Amino acid sequence: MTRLRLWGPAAPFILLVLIAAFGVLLIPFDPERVVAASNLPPSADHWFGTDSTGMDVLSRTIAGARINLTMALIVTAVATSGGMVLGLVIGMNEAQRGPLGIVGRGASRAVDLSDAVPALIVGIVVVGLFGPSVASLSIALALILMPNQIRLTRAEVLKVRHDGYLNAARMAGLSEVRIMFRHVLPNSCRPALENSSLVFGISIIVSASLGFLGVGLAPPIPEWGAMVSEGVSDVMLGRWWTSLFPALALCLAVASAAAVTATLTRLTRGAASH
Amino acid sequence: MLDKTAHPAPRDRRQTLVDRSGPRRGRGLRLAALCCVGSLWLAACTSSTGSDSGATTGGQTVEEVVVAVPALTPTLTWDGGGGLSLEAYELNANFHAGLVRNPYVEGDTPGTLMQDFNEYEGYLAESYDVSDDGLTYTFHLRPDLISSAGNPFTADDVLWSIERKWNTPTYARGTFAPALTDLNQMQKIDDHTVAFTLSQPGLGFNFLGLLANMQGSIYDTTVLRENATPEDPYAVEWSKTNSGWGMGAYSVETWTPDQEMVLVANPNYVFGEPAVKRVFLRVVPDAGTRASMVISGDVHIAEGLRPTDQAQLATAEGVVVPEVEDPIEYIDMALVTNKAPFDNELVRQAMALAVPYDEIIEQVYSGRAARKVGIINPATRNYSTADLPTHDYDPERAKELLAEAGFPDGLSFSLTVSNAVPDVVDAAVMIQSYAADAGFEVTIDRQPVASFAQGRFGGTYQSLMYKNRAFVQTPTYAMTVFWEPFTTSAPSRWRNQEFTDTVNAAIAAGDPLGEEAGELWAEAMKINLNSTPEIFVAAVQPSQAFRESVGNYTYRSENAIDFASLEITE
Amino acid sequence: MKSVLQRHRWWMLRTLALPAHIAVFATVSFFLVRLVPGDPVLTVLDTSQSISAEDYQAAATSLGLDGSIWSQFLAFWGNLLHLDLGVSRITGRPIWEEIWSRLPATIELVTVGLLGSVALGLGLAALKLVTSSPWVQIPLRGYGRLAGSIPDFALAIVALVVLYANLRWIPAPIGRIDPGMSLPHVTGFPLADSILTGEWAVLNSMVQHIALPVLVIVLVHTPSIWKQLDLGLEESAAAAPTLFRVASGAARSAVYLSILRRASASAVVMVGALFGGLVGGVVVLEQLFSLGGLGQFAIDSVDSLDFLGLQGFLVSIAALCLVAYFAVDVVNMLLDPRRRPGARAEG
Repeated sequence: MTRLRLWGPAAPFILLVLIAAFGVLLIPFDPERVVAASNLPPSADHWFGTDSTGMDVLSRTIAGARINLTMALIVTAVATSGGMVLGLVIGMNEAQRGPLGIVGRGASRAVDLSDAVPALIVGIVVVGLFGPSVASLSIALALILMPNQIRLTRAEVLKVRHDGYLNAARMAGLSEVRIMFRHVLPNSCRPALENSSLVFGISIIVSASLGFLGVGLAPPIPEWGAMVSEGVSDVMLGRWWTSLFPALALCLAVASAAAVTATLTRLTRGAASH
Repeated sequence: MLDKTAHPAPRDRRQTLVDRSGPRRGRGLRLAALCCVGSLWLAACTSSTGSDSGATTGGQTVEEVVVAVPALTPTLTWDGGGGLSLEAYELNANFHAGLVRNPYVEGDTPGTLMQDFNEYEGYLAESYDVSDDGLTYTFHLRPDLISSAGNPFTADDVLWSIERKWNTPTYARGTFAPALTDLNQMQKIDDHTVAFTLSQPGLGFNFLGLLANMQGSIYDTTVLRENATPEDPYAVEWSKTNSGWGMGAYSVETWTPDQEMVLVANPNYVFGEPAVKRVFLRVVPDAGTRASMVISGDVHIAEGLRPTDQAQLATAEGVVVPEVEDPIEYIDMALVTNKAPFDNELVRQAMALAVPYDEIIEQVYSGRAARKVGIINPATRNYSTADLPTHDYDPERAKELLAEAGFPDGLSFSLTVSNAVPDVVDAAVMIQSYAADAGFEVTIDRQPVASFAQGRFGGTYQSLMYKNRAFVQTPTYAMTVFWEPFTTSAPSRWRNQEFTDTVNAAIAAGDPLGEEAGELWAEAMKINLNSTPEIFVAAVQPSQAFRESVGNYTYRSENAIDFASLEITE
Repeated sequence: MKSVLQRHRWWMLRTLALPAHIAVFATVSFFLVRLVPGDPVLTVLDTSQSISAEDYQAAATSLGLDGSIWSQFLAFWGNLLHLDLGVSRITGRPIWEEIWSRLPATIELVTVGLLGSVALGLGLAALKLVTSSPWVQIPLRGYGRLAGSIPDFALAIVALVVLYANLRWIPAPIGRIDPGMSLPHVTGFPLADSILTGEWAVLNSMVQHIALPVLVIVLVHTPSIWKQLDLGLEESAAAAPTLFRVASGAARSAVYLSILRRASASAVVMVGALFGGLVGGVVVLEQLFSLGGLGQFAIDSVDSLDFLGLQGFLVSIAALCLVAYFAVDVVNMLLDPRRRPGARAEG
């Protein structure tokens, strides 16, 4: 496959990461300070207008990229890798007879149960316990989103568990652990990896919903979800700019992450064939 | 090794399943036709019920009013520990009545009314006398008054109602002290006369104020007694979910929690059956949506609006946004004096100079707020704010004071707000930006409602900001309810001997609206403003807006609407 | 007898496990709820007007918040075994009544929305199987990629601004029905009740008010279902059973149905997951359209620290989700015998 075809889909995402890393050097105003009159529509001085306290929306949208992307990346990485490993372990051991089997089945049930806890309760409790910060929000979101990754990997592991080549590997004397990570994992990680873009998107949206309920980072830290939620009431009265630009940024970020999945799967497909 | 993913998806095989024959295409056409029919039906139905502006309200008679509210109270009584909220104040104003009330006079906006806090008029009582020594207040109840349930109103109702407030955990009891601390101070003279003997003559005016507000609601106790049980002798549990036991102008007809409450008028109301027979309280959680509904005419009144939206509504056709000269609700920044840094008076004074008052009024409130000089209502008779110190944004002077206090390089602190009030959060952001130039580094700590209440009560924050109001508008109440030692667990924990002595002297002067007391109130206020345990950031205008057809909106101290006074002309 | 038990082992075991799961969940929720920060006593007293310490004590006693956490736990379990979720200290109504007065409306909204999503998903599946034109296939695959990237409240706001504020094609988002109308009450499910009582004007009003929220749910959540279905279709269309049916001359509709049947497992799981997530997650839409609902009750319980209310909410949601997952598992096991526990999967 040509290099362009492999890395092409990841280009928007890489651009986004660059903006997140270096964008704050280019913004015209301090994103956390009142710089002008409030509720100004987009103009030459303020391309994206100002919000209800007089902070510049453009500067906040770009500065928000760092916060949101960091959180989403942490959450996606933790939820996906943790989910793959746990799903692998649970799936491989579930059917065993001994104590491993019992633990495996119990863990599987726990994963199913945890899905029934509403996301907002988890968010409120975790943030309430540890205070609103990037770390605590990330923990809360990772807890909410890991079970699905576990379930996806486990389902795939159950399917491939009985494949013939695994028995061949066992007969060749490879340890169970080595078999799990060297052979089963690459063949069962695809659903979780494909789902990771969904995890990325959902983490941003759930953090926005938590912001809607007032459970988010302390003001005036720029975070896209909170900016959209705060601006929602304004839209009904014609002040669309406070919500629209962070919402667009949100959608673009999620869409570019979805595109990256294509690159990811092509890479893993290459690694799995040997 | 075999690898399951090595085989590419055989697209060529799937192509054998492609079918281009007629019936398949027909299926798609049928689906499309269904969609068209569906959308046509929807459009037809929409146009048939009519969605032009004013249609919903025009279709109803002028005896019904539709109100968009942010939430409904979860319970119908606030005795026995019921939670208080703006929704609670409004329902209390409409379900209940007291012995006296503040009369309504012409308001500052044409077509509206407001309360006169210098006077009291008879409400459930026809009149009242004060004894010569100023200690005994005798109330003559209206002789022919019956409740909405048909029960005659007697002195027993007064006694039982006050007893209920005493013997159940209700905050009201605390506010009657020190004037009334024991039920024996209350006496039934005959079936239509009740007397109260107070501990000090100077507390009488405030006592009337308590009777005129939520603390003094008197109920139809016949209904309550019918539903009392040995475990619940005052029918508190029953009254949480049932209506019709108040002497006010309305009771609940239907109630869908979190969605709608319909109030129905009391034909036996003391001032005659109200013009508005039915009130539809509709929950619309989003503030912007509520505001747009007044513009479109989908509701008569909208409550809990944001000041920026109100500024926009004021220019819309057919909409009235009420304004008053001296708004009562205010943004209160309490500096907690039991710990650093605000245990230092110089630091507090510096902070008072670091708040951008005018910017907040302009940017956050779009001009729909005013500077507030002290907490006593400026319209109080014989009281003047002329000599009281005012604070303005002065970062240079603030830095000087900080240096004097031992912080030449400035200092940092946290400001806690509740997440429930967006404009308070916005004001905090402005303070953070502007106070930086004065040497203060502010961290905003946003808490959910419940833990905010806990921190405020426990005095655990460094500073906090919230919307406050004294809904009993007497100088006595204003000066004793918010500060120690008159109240324990006051948010700022501030205590000043000179202040305490001056307030006690003002009470001892007898007539709180008299000249002597007036001077003393001003002196006490001056002490407080100089020590700045609380910063009065701004007094905010009422949060409602309504259609032109709604007349006699009344501005009350709790910013609740008295639906009985409304007249819808159309 | 034993063989009957063996054959039906798969769903009988799952049914028996259900109450055990709910029990575990109830215990977890008891402790989880107490982790929410804040003091519930202060939410029933008006601290803005300042209160005395003795009033605080009296209020605490009346709320029943004296006693150790273990005595509260035992009381909780004692009530639960009678299916009694307690009485709310804030409203005075039984928690069961509070939940049951809101739950049907939320379930109905979520169910109608998901049915729409499933219908749309099946429609897209039919489209995918029927044509191979890239003009159709590429957008179809793209729509699946949108899964999870559309924030529902953003779409709802844009739709409200365009369709209500500007075009007036839909009624004001002021609630479930027009003011002046009353909700009929038979089962508690608003749409069903208005059909059962024959109140066509009310039904009309309800449909208009709920059209946009349902549309938003369909547009936002179909991609998740469609993505799974799309993947499944690709796999099963190429699998051996399909080739066998085609080779043995089965009718076209039979082939399509067979493909669909084998492809829908992960999509069915997704529907179950969406149902569980939406019952709690649709609160944002319910707020925007003023529809009340169960999510609002949870938020109010958190705000007022109504522990019993929050526990009741969690237990009810858990029971609902577990029933939904159970149904999903049963449907999947019906569709694909390989998934039944105890069955051996061939390679």
